Amino acid sequence: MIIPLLLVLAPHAPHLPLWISLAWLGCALLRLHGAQTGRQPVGRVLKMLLTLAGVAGVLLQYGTLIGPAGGVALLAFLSGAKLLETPTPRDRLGLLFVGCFLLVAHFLDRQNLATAGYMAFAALALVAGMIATQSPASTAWRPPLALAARLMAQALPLALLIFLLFPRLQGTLWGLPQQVAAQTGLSDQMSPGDISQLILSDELAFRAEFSGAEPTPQQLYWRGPVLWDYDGHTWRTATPLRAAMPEATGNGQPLRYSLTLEPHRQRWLLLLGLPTRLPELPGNPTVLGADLQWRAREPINQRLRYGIEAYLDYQLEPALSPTLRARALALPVGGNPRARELAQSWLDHATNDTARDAAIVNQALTLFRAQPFFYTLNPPRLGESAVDDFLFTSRRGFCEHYASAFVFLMRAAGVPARVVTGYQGGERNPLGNYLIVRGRDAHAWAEVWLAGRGWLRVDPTAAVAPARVEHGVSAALPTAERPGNLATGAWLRPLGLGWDLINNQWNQWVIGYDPARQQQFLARLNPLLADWRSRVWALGLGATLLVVGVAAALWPRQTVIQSDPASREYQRFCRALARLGLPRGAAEAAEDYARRALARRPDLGNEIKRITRLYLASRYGPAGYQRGAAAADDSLRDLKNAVAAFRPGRRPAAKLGVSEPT
Amino acid sequence: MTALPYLPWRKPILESGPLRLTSRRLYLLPTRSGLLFGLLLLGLLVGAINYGVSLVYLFTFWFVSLGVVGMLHTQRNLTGLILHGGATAPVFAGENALFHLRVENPSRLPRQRIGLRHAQGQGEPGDIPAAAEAVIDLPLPQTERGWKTPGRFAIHSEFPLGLFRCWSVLELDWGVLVYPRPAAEGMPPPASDDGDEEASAARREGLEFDGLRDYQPGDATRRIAWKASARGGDKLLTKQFASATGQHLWLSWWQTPERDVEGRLSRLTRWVLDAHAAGLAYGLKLPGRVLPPRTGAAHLRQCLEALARHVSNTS
Repeated sequence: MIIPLLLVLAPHAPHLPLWISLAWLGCALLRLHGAQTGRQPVGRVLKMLLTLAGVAGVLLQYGTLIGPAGGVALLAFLSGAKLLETPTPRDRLGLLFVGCFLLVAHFLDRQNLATAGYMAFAALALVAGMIATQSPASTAWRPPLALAARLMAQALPLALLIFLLFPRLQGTLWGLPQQVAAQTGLSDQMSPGDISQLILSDELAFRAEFSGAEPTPQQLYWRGPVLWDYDGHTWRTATPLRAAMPEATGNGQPLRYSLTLEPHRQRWLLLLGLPTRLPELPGNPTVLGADLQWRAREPINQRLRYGIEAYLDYQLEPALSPTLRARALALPVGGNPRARELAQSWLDHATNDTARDAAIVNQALTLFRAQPFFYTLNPPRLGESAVDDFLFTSRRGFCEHYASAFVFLMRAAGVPARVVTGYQGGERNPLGNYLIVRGRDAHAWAEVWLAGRGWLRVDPTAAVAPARVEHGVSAALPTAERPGNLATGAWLRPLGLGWDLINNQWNQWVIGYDPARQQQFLARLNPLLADWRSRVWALGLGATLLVVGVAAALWPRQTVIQSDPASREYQRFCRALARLGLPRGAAEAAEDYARRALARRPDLGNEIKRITRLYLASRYGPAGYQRGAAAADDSLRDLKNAVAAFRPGRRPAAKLGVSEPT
Repeated sequence: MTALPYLPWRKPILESGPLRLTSRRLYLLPTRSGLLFGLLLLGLLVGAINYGVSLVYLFTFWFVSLGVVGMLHTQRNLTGLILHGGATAPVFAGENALFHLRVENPSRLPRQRIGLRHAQGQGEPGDIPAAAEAVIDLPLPQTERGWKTPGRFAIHSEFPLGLFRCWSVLELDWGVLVYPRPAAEGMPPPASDDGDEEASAARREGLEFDGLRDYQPGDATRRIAWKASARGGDKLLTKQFASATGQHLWLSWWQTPERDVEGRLSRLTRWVLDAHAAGLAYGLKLPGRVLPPRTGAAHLRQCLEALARHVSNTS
């Protein structure tokens, strides 16, 4: 009983206050000690005081006794305190039920495959504990565990059926708890060094699946936060743009893809291209800004899957409003004089008005390409004038340096520009035919606005390190700088991809099985199931069929086993006589049968009498009642020997001269 | 402790011989723990809906199915068993009579933790291996003498999970002979019942002086050892005689110090047991029945049965 609880509680321990873990272990040890000495570990009053102290402690720590965190702590503590008394079978079951509750509580935090596997094992231990409760005297652990495994396996089909068909409800019954967890992935702002930190992370950002042809790597710019405002050090968006469908037109065929975003505890969402329509997220309204930045009202705390139809080729905001134009040209007052000077010189040398801005963009890209710029994760520290230092002194940097400097130059030269962050590229998983995008694919690029063409994507990093865009970050970095996880041996790769495939399926079919997915899946399975009422009917019917099926499979089959060895021997004797043409009547008593047989075959008289007597003695005699008694064994052995020796001839022995009566 | 309930229109009738437990006569309901488990599942389901966590759904449904499968296992644990009522050894009032139920398992499925339950007590659950039989005991306290039938009892099992209980209510034609409760020790039977003639007759038959013991009310005055009593002080002593050939001792209804029927029977039971233990030949005189003096286990049984079944027509 202690072991299943321990299995369930151990993963909770890191989230519980230390004193609860220690108190629980202490109680368990006292219990074990008490079981050995056969005494109550502590007195009743002390136990009561301890329990009250524990409840008060939980109350002080969490301020509440209910809710996921406080409730788990309270139950964990009480389950320990309960160990202090000698439990009745019902108490034991109750404790194991608490274990079930604590087990399920894990899934509020973690839902990955490993957790589920571990918890399935813990559930097995709990069930085995319930079975063991039935036989308190027995200490064998193997039979309960084996039976528990059988029960769990038999229960699984029904569980899956209910899981698939049980109508999922949207929304919550009461408030979700405030979950405080570190944000991961891109943030809403960008300072030098932010993204290079992300690059080191192998953490999954999202997965994407394309229903048609997959775009080329150069097209895979997953758009995240769009940054407008620069203070000389950090890019951010102080006030997001108004929520409006951007003025944009798409060209060509729209691309369909679905994206499974890992929870990053922030509000931005990712887009590829210009969406034809925004998908609706359950319980979390979203807006799309005029700058094609998609934001949700609530942070993304759960893994999220959405499908989008989008144009990869589009024209965004051909006409720029004066306010936006001003914002796209704003620079901090002062600082970076050399960069401003350079930009001014481009502006001065530009001739044609319509192609001027495009020429300036090209000049900047040429600068990055022609000058000795290096793509590196370890740029030197930049001083007060970060852009000047980068452009003219260090010339070493990462995508955020390039994007930041590029946009600065553009604005200084009067070209409206902004920084866009997001992810670029991704690793294709050939096993599942989808794209895995990780932290290391984080990227920053720029957008410039050109008259008549709208906002255009310009990736200055691509000018410096084209391999970054085509082959990913590890190809672009100098060998020495590749993070360990990027440089892992090639032989591990298929393994990792297979594991990711399993995880992806798990996420989509188990964790991501939400009302929308259920609706989609069931409707595709059978249009009838699209309605929740028919779903309930199907659930009832399916469950009934399954239960009946399991019941039929389980039903104890009657076996024709002559459990009584004496009868078995006697049957053999009767068969031998039947072969002589003397079958035993259906309801003929053994003694009557013997008399009848004797009349027909007097030559066999002694044997028939002896076998009948031995049979009656061992079956109905006083010794026969005590199976295993020495007397019973003796008479049974005699019977066996006599039957074995009974080999009557077809005809009576001639020398006796007894004729068969007719 | 109450016996398990049954449907009134399916009231168990007195049955004999091998009885097969079919699902028709089995009842199946959740235990109190089972109801608690149901509450837990309900709570988990509400949690799953509230937090919208798929794995909570999955494990909740797994536990639900586990309960259902466990229920089927519980019922199949009893289905198809064949019951034979066994003989019950007589006991004295105040003791537990051990009723034996021989349970035959004709299937290949081992049955586990099957117990018997009665309004007055329950037995330790037992296991029955596949294609074998086992005896399950039901100890029931007996307070009154006579032929006692236990009436209704239930055969039940909560195996494997303890969430459901399956049972069948039966009434088998078994019974037990309950001997009267032996009176407290310390008062030996009076040495004589019919006065001088009997005592001298006994002496004529070759009785020899065996020793002295404390006087008991009812001892014949002739047997009091007056001289020894005088020497010993304030206590009266009685002479005891024993016979090498066996003494004929009459244990009589009318000689007991008690006056009530059950008291007399208790006293006689004690005397019968003591006389048997001492290896004496003894006879028993009851109103309307006389058992001549004899020895041996069969005689003891006969005497005890006569006492157990004594029907008094006077007050």
